Amino acid sequence: MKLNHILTTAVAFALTASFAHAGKLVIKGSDTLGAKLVPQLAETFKAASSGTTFEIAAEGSTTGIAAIIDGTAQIGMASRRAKPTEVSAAAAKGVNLKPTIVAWDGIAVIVNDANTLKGLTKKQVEQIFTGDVTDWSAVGGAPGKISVYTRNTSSGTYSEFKEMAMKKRDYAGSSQKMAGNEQIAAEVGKNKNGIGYVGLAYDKANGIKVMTLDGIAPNAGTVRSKSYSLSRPTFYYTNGEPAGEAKSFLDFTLSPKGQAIVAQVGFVAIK
Amino acid sequence: MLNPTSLRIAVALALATPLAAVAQDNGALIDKLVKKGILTSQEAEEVRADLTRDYTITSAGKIQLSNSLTELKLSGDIRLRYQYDNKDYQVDPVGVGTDSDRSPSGAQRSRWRFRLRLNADFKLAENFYGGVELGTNLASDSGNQTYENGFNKYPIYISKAFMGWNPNDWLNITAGKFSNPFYTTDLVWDPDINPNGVTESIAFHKMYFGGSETSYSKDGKTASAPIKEERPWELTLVAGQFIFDDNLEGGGRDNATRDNDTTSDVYLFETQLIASYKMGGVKATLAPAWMTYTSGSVSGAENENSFNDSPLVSGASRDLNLILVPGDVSFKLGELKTKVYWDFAYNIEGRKRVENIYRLASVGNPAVDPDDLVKNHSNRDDFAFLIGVQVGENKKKGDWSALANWRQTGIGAVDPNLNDSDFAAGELNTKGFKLGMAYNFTDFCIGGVTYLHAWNLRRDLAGGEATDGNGVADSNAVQVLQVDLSMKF
Repeated sequence: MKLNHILTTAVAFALTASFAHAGKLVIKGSDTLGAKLVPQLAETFKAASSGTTFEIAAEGSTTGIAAIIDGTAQIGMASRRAKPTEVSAAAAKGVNLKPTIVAWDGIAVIVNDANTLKGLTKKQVEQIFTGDVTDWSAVGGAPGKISVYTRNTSSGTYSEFKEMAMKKRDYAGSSQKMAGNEQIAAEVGKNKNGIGYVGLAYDKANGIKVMTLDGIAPNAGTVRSKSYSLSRPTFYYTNGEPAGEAKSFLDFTLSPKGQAIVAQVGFVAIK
Repeated sequence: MLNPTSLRIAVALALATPLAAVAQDNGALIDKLVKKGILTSQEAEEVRADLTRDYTITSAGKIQLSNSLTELKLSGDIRLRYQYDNKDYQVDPVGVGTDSDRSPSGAQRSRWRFRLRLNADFKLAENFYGGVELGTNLASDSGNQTYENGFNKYPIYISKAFMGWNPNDWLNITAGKFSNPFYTTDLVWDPDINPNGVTESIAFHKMYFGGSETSYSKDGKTASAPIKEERPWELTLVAGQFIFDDNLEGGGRDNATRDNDTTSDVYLFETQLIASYKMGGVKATLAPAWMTYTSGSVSGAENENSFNDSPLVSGASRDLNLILVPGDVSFKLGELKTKVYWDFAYNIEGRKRVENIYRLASVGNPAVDPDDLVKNHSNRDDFAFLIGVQVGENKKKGDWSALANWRQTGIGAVDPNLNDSDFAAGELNTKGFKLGMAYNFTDFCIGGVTYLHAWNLRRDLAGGEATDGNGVADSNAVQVLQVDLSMKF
């Protein structure tokens, strides 16, 4: 056990040293942030700051927080807060998970363009995603077996949606798990009976439309005011106060220039 | 604006609840502080992260519970007991058994025992619930483990495992192994027995007369909370379909001594209507019930006075068709809660139970007359009754209670696999009394003394399953003393 701890610390130290030495910034985590926003921020940052290289892996918030705990990334992207188990695991390794809000987002419920419905109630969303309701006719739509698309379990959006929209109930057994927002949007766009959810930056894809929730559409105003019930902050997680390249990149993200990119990509700027 | 550290201290003070609860409950309060502009969103996240971090290093923070749980209650109790039993065996009358059977004999036991029960009761979403209990002792009618065999360790068993659903106030359905759902006394059901199967209850007083009509404010616009008018009466129907024993359906027959009972599963059915009426400070309850079994072989029943099939007995659940009428009248005697209670049981098929199952009818001389049976049944065999009084209750420190009851149990009246294992060691054909006192040293620690004294009801019952075989009535007298100290947690 002790040897394991020493080895982990040594590996983490070696990796941190290599980050610093090469001017390389390793960012892992949320697909919501990592598929579009962070790469664009990185491109702009690189153009202004010589010598920094990026390694970005967007495989879900869980992987981002785990990477901070393991010391394999300097920034962990997350579309959800760290769970108590993750905070506890981090504390056991002497890691202090520090969240920084970098953007606001709304989880948009999307359906195929051909769907006659314009909106759903929160209760109907819960019923559809848990499998209580399996046909569109039960919620006022044209008859057809509902195809539910969700993110995979390492996704922060997966767990946030479960908590915010489904009263923490389990997803329907028939739901299909997708690797990212773009895959969900693509599948729903192809399937006239499809329904799924994506971050605001992904709700303009072809073939889909966004449902209002209890009559409220997700947009910058309703997300910032939190009148849209599926509004959430998104984070960069660091081990304590960020330093070096990580601090520079975080500062850039929070700067007016960075926040302009945030808004341009489709997220809601924090100010 | 305050600096972040001061803010965190201020918020932590504002959230001055036990730390374990803070991380669970602070979300709404932090959001409110953000909304009022006292905290920025980023500061709120830092406070939230700090509190979560603090919470995770507490013991509670290291426990993870299933998302589907809405409530979990962990509880249990330990009871230490000294028990002394004295048993004088039945003396066979002349002409029955051998001379040695007519020698008075007795047995005494003095035991130090304990009982442990660990409970987890949980509620889930959508009005589902369930529970598990682990306890000492394999026997269905006792949780006592005697301290014995050096310092050996003792096994623990599953004494409850159930799930249920109560979709509304008046309907409740439970399946699995659960607490006895019936209003009863230990004349018929030992309180330690947790039956297996399904039970349903319908509370009619909540179903139609629960006062759930919505009322409105004086201007007729605003709906107010439903008025729950207290009614003087309650009426509840309880039904149970219990699995008593499982037999191999293809187990074959042995027609020489048995019928197909060996291939039939045994089910116990009971249905009860519990009616109560409250008038002033007096509440009366009457709970007539009907209890019956399917006929089948019973084997492996582990209890104080088990009655199983044997080479000579087939269908140990046969000929039990009971009408039960327990009840009580509760009132206050000065400041003390007082209850006069009773129970009554009548086995419609008592005669057949006595003569065919307990084999208390013997063939006289079939060569001369095939119907020449020496029948040994008395009407007293079919009845059992209990009447008692209890004064006081044990809820908090300083409380005390005392009880006394008298009972009489005919040999064919009740099921020896179910009745109280403490009174006459669970035997039938008994009469006698029970006295008890209990005192709360603290809210959770109770001391008690119980004395039970029983004699045989009919002195002429011998042979068959009364004194031979399963020996359901082989004592002349039984005395039991129990001194308890129990602690609930």
